[in-house]
Amino acid sequence: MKKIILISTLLLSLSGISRAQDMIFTLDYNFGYATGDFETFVPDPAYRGGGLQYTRFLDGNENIGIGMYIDWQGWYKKHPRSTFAYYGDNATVSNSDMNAVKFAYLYVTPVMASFNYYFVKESSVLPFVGLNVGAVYTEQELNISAISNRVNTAWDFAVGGEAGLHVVFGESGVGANVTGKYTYSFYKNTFHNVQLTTEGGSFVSIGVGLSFLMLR
Amino acid sequence: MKSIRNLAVLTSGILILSGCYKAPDDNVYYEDLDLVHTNYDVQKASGDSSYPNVYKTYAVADSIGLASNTDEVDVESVNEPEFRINIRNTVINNMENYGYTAVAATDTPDIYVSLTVTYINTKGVDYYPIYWGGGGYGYGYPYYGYGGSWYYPSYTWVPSYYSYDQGSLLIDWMDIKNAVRIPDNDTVYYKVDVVWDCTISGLVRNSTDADRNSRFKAAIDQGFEQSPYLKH
Repeated sequence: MKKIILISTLLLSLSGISRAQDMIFTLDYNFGYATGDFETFVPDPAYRGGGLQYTRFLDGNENIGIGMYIDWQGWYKKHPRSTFAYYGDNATVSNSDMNAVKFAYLYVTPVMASFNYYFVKESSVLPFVGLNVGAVYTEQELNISAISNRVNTAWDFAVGGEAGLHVVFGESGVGANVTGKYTYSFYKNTFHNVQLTTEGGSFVSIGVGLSFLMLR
Repeated sequence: MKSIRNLAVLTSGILILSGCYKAPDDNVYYEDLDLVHTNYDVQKASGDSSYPNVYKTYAVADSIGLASNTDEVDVESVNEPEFRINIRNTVINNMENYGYTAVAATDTPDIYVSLTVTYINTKGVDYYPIYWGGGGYGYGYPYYGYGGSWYYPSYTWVPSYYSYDQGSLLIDWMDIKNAVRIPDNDTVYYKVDVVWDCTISGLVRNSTDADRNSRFKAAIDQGFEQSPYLKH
């Protein structure tokens, strides 16, 4: 499903390039760092990720760009073998201990509106900062050995900030793109069996890719 | 110019989609799936400050029982001497280290330690709680019997989990000291609480004999180590 959305968005983006004259498309490869409670869950960087962004400059003020983006990022962590208290469903007191390896998976899909400010106009180097607001689809999964599998999925309201740089090569409008985004979603989940609570889903995404700039 | 743009779009499209595969990027080994799970009677533990010091003596089952719904394993195979002796000796060593005294099973120990291998084929099911006592699943859990009496284990928790195609070893502490006799005209029945158990999953299959024995020893030791409340 995610791939279908991505491919559809890609095709829509391609069809828009030939018509539009005042917009930027970006396609990025993303790697990510979980922060906050997410970092506890998956402390290692994520090397699986990507994103598509569409930004349209305001008529009359090309320092302002409004658009939207969809990203995807996947983390994985094999937590080393440890001993921990285990709680049965609905149990408030544990009478159980486990020694096992835990496998943690985290996938996020932010779908966000973006409001960017570009410091210069009609330049081959376009630095910008932005604010983002939207929603994040989160899929958090915890497996213990091969006997316990818990998955929680949710859409949550999210906010974030972004800073980046487009570098345009010559007249083609094609350029390189580097962005850094911070996203915070109001995600909350407790894996009762190990008493692990995640409150707030935050992460940093670093994207590198290509941008397609159409100047008037 | 257009061709440059199209090439760039194609390249970045491949790049972005290649970043979106969902498979984990780390290998999982058999030993990663080994699991040691211990349970204890929380009521006894919280309501009796002397727990488990009320138990002094113990006996360990001579043979290993089998709970299975498949003919891929039989009682003889789980009682292969080297395997059985390794299991028993490791349990006995840990009981002694924790200050318990061995007696013959016929001398009515405070704790009878039963050993059971479960191998239940549950294709398509990730994990499956065993329900003992009712016999509803027909796994033929071997009720413990000696001296002409039969002892029915009773758990205050869902006893165990295991993974399909792996098998588990269950080490159960049966509270013989406080066994409750169930009236019956012909046979002497007792209901006994299981006050501690240790489930070791993932080790029975997929390993060589030597590897299996050393992994079982380590896992049994781990089961006692993570249950320090048993120590006298």
